[in-house]
Amino acid sequence: MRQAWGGKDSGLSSTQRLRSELRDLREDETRAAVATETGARLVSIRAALECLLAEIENAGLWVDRLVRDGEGRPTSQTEDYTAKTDPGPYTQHSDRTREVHVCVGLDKGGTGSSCKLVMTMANQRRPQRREYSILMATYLSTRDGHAELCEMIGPWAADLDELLASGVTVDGHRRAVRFFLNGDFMFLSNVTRHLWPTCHMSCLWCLAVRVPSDTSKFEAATYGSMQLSAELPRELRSRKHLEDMASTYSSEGNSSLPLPLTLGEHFLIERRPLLLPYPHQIVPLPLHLTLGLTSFLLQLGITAAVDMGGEAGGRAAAAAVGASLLADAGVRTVGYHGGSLEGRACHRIAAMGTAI
Amino acid sequence: MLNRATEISAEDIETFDRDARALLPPLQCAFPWVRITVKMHTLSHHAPVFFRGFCSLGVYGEQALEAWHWFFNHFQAQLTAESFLGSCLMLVQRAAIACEPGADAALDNGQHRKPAKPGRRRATNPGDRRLRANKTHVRDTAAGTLGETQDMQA
Repeated sequence: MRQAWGGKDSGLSSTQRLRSELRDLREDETRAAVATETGARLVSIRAALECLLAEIENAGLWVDRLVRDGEGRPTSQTEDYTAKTDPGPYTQHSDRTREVHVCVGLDKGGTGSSCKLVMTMANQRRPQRREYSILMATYLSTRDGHAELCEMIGPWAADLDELLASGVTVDGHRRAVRFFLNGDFMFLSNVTRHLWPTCHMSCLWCLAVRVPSDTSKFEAATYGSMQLSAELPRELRSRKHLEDMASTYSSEGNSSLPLPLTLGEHFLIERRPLLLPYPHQIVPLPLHLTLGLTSFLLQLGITAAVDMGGEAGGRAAAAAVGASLLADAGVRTVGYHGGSLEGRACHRIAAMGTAI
Repeated sequence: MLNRATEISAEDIETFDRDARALLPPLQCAFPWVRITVKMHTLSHHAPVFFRGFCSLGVYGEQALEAWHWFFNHFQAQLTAESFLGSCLMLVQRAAIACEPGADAALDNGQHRKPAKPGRRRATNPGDRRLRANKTHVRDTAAGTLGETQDMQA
């Protein structure tokens, strides 16, 4: 193409030059990656993040994300961050400190069944654009389980702790890093070593009991039940509790302790947490909420039709909803997500909610 | 609103908060057998709290994470290596090299397609060719559409 447009006079770079620049980029510390036993990872997440921040700042895409106070007013950031040097437990900086909002999440998917660990940076105009996020690592996923997740997340814990303690430099100012954790429920649950999304206290943000049973009557009476949906959560989870659990457990879990902790002490965190996020900074998985609830509400609508008009009424309602989904909303189920709807399809359904 | 990667206004957050909290009690009244799942509980109680603290959920969401799966699937042919681990390494290297927000910004001349005013481009006439039913070209294969229609009617 370059030759067709006049070779050197076209102004396009030659193949040799492009290859040379690509080689330089690969050797650049901020973009260097290495292979590991289970996948591939960036060499330095700090270097990659600071490089991205500099790019965003230079391109004029920077957006300040201000934390709101209890009354909904934005807290202005006026103070520079001072790196923590004391070896004590990490405490988050004040809301007045200049900061960068960083989300880390892992998800399994794609052909070949691989897990991708991704960091997104919220202080930009289009934070969810793939090109503006950092692919920290890709791992081959052969089996589901805690051991595999430990192998993936374990090596990053120290890097992330260092990032939180030291902050990052943006445009000459040292900024603190506010750490968010995102991903699907299984990942969020596993990374904080919460027992399972279907256990008694399955909420990652509060201590409400999912379905009160004979074994959890006391906890349901104390911390409330999810089934009392009008009631506000009585007690929220805390990072202090995660820290306590991290210091209590060694490599083994609760069952290995000489005196195992009770449910009222471990709140179903029965192993050493891999990361220690502030629970209010665990992102309530917007995409997966949308995916989970859209199909459920559609099914509930058809159930209502069955209740009112019997099986024939239900069939008619299902056909009508299906036709409306296809014709009005233009959506259909997909082969993955267990034959469910995609995120974009859910948005269309919500937009065409009246017709459906 | 859940997935919009922008800051949401205080009024919209207030409305969402009210609607989310009012979603589940009527459902439980209408369908007493419905068990409130963790996701429903999260939507009703914790998503509004996150909104109030950080003004957005979509900004912190999982879309970018999911997009990397698509990228890996789509460019797998360009990321071939002797082993799957080699492909993983190529993916991480390629992602690191391609991460240049400044390059995109340099190509942006500021001309963006603006959303239409509410109701402006909406097709209301049954004969309007912008209606999906009146589209002459079919987006899906005829066999696929026919199959889905038959499935629904069966």
